[in-house]
Amino acid sequence: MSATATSEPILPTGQTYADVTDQLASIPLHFPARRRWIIALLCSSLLLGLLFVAITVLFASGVGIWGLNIPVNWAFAIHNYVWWLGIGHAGTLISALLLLLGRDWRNSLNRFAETMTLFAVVCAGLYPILHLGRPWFIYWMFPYPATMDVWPQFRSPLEWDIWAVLTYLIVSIVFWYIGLIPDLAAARDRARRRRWQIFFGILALGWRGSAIHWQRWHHAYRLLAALAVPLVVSVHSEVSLLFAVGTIPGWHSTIFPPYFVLGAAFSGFAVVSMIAIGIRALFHLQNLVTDQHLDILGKVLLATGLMTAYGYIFEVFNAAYSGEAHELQTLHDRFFGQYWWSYWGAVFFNFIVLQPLWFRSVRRSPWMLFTIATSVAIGMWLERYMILVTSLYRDFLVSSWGVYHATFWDWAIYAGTIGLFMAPFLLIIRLLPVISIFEEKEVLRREQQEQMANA
Amino acid sequence: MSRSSRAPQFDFDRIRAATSRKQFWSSIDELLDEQGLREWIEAEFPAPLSVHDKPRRRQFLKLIGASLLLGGLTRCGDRPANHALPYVIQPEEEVPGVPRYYATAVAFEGYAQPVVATTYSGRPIKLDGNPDHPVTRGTSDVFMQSAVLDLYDPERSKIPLRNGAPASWAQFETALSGLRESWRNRKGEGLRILTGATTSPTLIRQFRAMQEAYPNMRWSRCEAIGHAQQDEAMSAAFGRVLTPHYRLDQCDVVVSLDHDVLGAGPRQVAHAQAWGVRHGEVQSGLGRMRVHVAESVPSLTGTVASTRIPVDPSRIEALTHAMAAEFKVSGFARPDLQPGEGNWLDRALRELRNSAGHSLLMIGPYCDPHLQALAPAINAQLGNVGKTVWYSEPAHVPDATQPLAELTREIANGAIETVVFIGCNPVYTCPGPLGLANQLARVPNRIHAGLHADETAALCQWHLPLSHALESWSDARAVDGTATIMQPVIAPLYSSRSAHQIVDMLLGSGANAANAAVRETWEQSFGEDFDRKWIRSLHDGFVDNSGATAIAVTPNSLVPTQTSSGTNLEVVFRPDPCIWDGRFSNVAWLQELPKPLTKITWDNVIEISPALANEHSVSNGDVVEVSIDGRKIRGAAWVIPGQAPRTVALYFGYGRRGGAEIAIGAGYDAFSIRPNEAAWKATGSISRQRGHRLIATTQAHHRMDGFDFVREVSAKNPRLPTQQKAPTFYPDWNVEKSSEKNSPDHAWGMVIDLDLCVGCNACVSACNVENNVLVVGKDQVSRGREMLWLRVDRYFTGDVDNPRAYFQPVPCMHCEKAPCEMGCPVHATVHSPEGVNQMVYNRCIGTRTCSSYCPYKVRRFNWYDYRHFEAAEEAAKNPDVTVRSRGVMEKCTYCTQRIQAAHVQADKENRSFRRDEVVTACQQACPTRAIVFGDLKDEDSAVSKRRRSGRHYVLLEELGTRPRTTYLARWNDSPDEEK
Amino acid sequence: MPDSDYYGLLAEFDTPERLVGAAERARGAGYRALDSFTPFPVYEIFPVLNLRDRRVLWLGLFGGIFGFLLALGLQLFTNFDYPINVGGRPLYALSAFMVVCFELTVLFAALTPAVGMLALNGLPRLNHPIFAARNFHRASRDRFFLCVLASDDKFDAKDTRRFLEDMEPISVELVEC
Repeated sequence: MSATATSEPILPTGQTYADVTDQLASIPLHFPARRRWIIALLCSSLLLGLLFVAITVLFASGVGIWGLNIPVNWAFAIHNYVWWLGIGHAGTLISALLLLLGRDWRNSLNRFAETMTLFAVVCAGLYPILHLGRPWFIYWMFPYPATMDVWPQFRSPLEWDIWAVLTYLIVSIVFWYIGLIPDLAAARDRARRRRWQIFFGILALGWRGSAIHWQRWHHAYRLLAALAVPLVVSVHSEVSLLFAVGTIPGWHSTIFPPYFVLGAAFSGFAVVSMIAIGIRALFHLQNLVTDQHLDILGKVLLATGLMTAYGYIFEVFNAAYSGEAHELQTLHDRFFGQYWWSYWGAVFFNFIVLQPLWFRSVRRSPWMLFTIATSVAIGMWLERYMILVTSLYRDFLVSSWGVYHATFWDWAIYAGTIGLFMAPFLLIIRLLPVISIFEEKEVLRREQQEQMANA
Repeated sequence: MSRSSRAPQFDFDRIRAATSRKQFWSSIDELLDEQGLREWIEAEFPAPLSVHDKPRRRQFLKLIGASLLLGGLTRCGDRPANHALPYVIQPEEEVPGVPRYYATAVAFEGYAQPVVATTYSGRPIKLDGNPDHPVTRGTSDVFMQSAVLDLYDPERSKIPLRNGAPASWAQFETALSGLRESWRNRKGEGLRILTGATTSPTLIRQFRAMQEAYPNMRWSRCEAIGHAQQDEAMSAAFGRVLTPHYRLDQCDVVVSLDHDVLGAGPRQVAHAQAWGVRHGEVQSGLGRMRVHVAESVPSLTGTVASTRIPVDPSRIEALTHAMAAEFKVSGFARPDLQPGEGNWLDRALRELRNSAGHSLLMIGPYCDPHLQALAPAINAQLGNVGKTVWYSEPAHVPDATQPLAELTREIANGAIETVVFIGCNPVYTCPGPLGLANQLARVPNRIHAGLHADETAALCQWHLPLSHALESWSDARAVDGTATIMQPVIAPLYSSRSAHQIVDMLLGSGANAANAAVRETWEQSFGEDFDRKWIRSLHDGFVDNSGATAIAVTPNSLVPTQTSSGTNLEVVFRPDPCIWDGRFSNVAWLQELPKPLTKITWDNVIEISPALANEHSVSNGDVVEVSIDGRKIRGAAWVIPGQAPRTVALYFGYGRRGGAEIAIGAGYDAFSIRPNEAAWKATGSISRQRGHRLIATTQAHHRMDGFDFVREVSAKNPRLPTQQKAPTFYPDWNVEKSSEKNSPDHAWGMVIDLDLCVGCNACVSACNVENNVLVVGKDQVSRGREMLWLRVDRYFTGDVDNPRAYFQPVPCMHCEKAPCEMGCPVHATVHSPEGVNQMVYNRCIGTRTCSSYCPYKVRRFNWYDYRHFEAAEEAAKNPDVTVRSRGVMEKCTYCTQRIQAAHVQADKENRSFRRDEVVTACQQACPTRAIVFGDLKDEDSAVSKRRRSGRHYVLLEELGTRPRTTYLARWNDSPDEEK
Repeated sequence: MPDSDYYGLLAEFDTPERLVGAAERARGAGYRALDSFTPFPVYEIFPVLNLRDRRVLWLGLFGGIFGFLLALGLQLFTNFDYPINVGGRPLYALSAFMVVCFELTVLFAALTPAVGMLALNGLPRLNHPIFAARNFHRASRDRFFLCVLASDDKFDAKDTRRFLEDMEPISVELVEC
């Protein structure tokens, strides 16, 4: 049994199964906080609209509308792709890894963490398509018997990415839905209006909580969790190979896979914290997402942050130790070059701002944690930018050095994907149980048992 | 925001400190921790939405394009374009898709540039030097390469214009008949005809005839650049105008006083070739050729020289006088020189004398005649005459040095009744002070014939479209005097006439067959057996033994002149290396061609020395004003390392006001402040103005300590150190092994000899033409999106005031371990069995991974659908090369279409490849033979031989990409390398 | 004797512990066709009801193996079918192929158990006799039901009901087919 659970209960044990069920199931059924929700949805819909405009212009005239050039022919599209994917990973880690480790507190977070993963991956998955010079030929990356008898090229990191991201998306959806079924049943049984009964009735697939069902469900769910963890690691490692496979100084390094995976978890946990705090405030779930949860999130954030910092240090060490002139040149450019702000910005937002988390009071104060998490999200965005652009804009031959500056359309599409992330997320929390009902009840039961044991 | 307010200040102590040790750097900005560059970047991405603008020309081209295409197909001037028909009966021997070759020539400043035109279905698509011709020997320059686009220029004038309104030739004929009447009555009094410089026997004959018909008319030749001063100097030296011919291949020592002998111009190809013969590997017994240059403005010659000093024009004068004094030319005394100049001069003198008979002194054609006149005397003393330099009667018709001055004077006196301009644009090229534009209106009858309705046409009642050289019959002499009979390779696209036809009209000898005039000329000289000789000459592309012959002459003694004391600020004028005097303003290929030394496109700049920039605290792009006795022009300043401290260089050809749609608004008009036609330098002043201009360069880069992209050998250590192997998991590699795996037959490779490259850009423009490389416009270039498959990198090392400069052509390296291919997810870039790194356009989906992974950044991407730019130029496209569409990566292919053609030919003839049978476009164009391409599996192929040279090295070898394109190190002949 | 008119008898309890106790007694009384309905998995009851179906896990294993072989085969075949020199790299670059192999392994190892779980559970099935039970909607809330299926040999509407009521459930209900 988990240390956190024994030391002190995560959930107030006063409440009954019925309370938990009714409270959570009632969120979709009798939705509170309509106004705030509508406003949020409106804003994100606007961003979504912007995305559609930007994509239309993009497809109409070509990637030239971005600030790209030779040598910097990868920028926003790729680094936002990496950023979004990284955010997605935390959801899977929380819900799968912590499930395997038997960390009960994850039960309050896993549902929306997974939901976040879904839409983060959707945003990420959009970019490789927009990025293409001829997006309408994206399907050429898949193996099918083509007329010219040509197949995809499986030595290419991009090819790996397509498979990795698709696998990740599918597995995430399945994992999310399998975990959701029992709650859908619960919602179905609480629903009084016909509309809702049909809606949940169909989604619940007729789940009735029979013992043998539970057993098989348990096997499947655990197995999925066990697969999801290595999957996350592999996916972001592959993303890092997108760079590490190239010979470009600043990319061609073996530190990249772990460096990227940790960075991903880091940024992901930051966003999870933001959402947790947001939802908890929105639906008054202090009794389920407790300060205890924030405390733990803060610790995780601090830990992953420090690991990422190690990646930074090692990168510098790498370049210095190699003594390779071009590597040193790139390092110098990162520190003092055109884009110095992206490097020092990353250092500041990721690590300096992170330090208050050493204090318990800071970790337990929602708004401070929220601020720090936001800063980390920004910091990791800068880091991705830095890794990409500061390596490309000055590679080997000085004659081909150039500069990149994002244009309006670069920003428009990035802002648009935020809308693409928010809008469906808001719809989901409106329509489905935002926190896992039955898993909460499991925790409650275990804690009540322990209380009795202690008493 | 106003950039001028935050313009970076040059701190020259820092720069000198930075450049004291040997290190590569390439623009002033980089020495300033990129201050200036930040300005440049802000200019580069002004407003997000402006990303969208396309050059103004685009719409225009769209409209004009289709009609032009039809016009091109009808191949008949007067028929309306919409009657285009395909072949009904296919002409014999005309196989679509199989090129036919015609020998002819295009004229440049009156001199024939002998070419072989490649035509598909009657469309010339590429010109290359005529391999049999003694001058070109198959090589070419940028102007020759781009002449095709001049032919297909959508803005060429298409029908006669009367006061700007469309008219017909018939109408002109009627108008003309009246004029002829009055000319006859007044014996041509008040009739003035201006043409460009000409060497055409036919035109000369015609004008003689005309002179007889109208005794008092005057015909003068006005060339904005030309060599009027050289003629003057020659007549000063010899009493009559002669043409000097240099034989650089015979020189052991060349001393050049401000003479860019390798620079752009009618003689560039000839000179570069001869120079190339003498360079490269050390020839046994001859040793290295030494070139010592003193120049005010950095030039190609200065770049490849053994020693070079930057001196202001006034000091050039001093040096020349000192030189003369040393050679005891009567009346010349050695003025006191600064130590640097003194040392340079003494070494030059020493070497000139040591290799007397194999040395050459050249004094620049832009120097004052009385200076140039000294060269013959000195060369005579050295016994160089007949060996390294010889003289001949001029092929061109010499002229009063200042025809335009004369013209304006006469107009002022009201002496002129009719003025006819044929193939020249004096209203634009006329020096501002003469004010021809204002005067011209006072001439009652004004007629202009030209390719474009240009500034001059705008001020004439009649504008007549002139046929392009490739459309018309004519003749001309090459720089060596060899005559070429120019035959049309395509029927006139528009209702245009050749100069000969127009002169016939002026004469009233009626409209004859297009080639009548030319035939007549040569009937006289060929005599009987005309047909055979005529056919032969047309076939060969030149008339046998028509070359100039050396004549023995002795220079007169000269009247010495006073050395003008060094003035405050000296302004020099130079032709633009890419668009010359503006005659090529409308050739997009040339506009987008990076200027050899600045890598600037689509613009001209005011070039100033670092010292001057420091003094006026200006940096690249800042607006400065140059004024010469009251007349002012404003342009963007550009700091040129190695420019003489007190010298400001202005370039002709920009600031066009008409006749060149794509050039209007670009740059400044240097003609407007040129004191007079003969003036190549003037004293003036420069002042910093508010504002900053966006200048599009293809190379803006930074300090680069210790890298060795360009390697050097010297007499001291003539071989490069052999690369010690880095530990690797890869199996050891050699061409044979690696290509056995690939193909049993061939392994294509290229070796570029950096000691032979003079950075003339011929290879780049040849590549553009051969491979349908798209023009993207200034805006895109300024965003770093130029499309050049082959770029010539330019580096500097050492002292900012007199750096050592390098050229390095960089095509695709065709790596055997190509990082780019690894990255492509769809097999769009793969390796051919013969080792060519191939790009499959129609498979490319535009992930751009290949370019990200490419260490040499030689790949180019179609960010937009750039094909819009060339609707008008369809006819000029090479049908063997795909025109790339939007979203597709592209790059150098080793001219794979030529390799395939050779394969087909060999298969047809059932034989294996001949040695060095395949020639790439760049290699073919290169006048110095710096580029060599061939089969690495053939031990004795030129490329294999070069690979065995001690100077052979691989760019970025440490990356283990195993390039097929490699380099030969450049020789460093500077004296300090030898001790 | 089995009774085909009924689905079974449903006893409602308020805690998992009492449910498990009841189940044990039912087993002791010789009932075999038992099932329980709970709002969350009550692991203690699995052994009591003698559930040992591990097929889902096996499905996962087979799925994984299938995915791996599929990916490897695909990549080997495509390079065999379209052999071309890419950057001088080996044609059958196993190290590079492993990435996609891993992905497909995970993909199929995840899909098969998920789908298999639903299939084995006979889901989706939107209508089920048990839903007719009066209080059954609380099975997803806070009640724990024990069900003696009518298919049980010892099942008898009266006796079994009496047997269940002895355990003082909150309610006992006869569920019809």
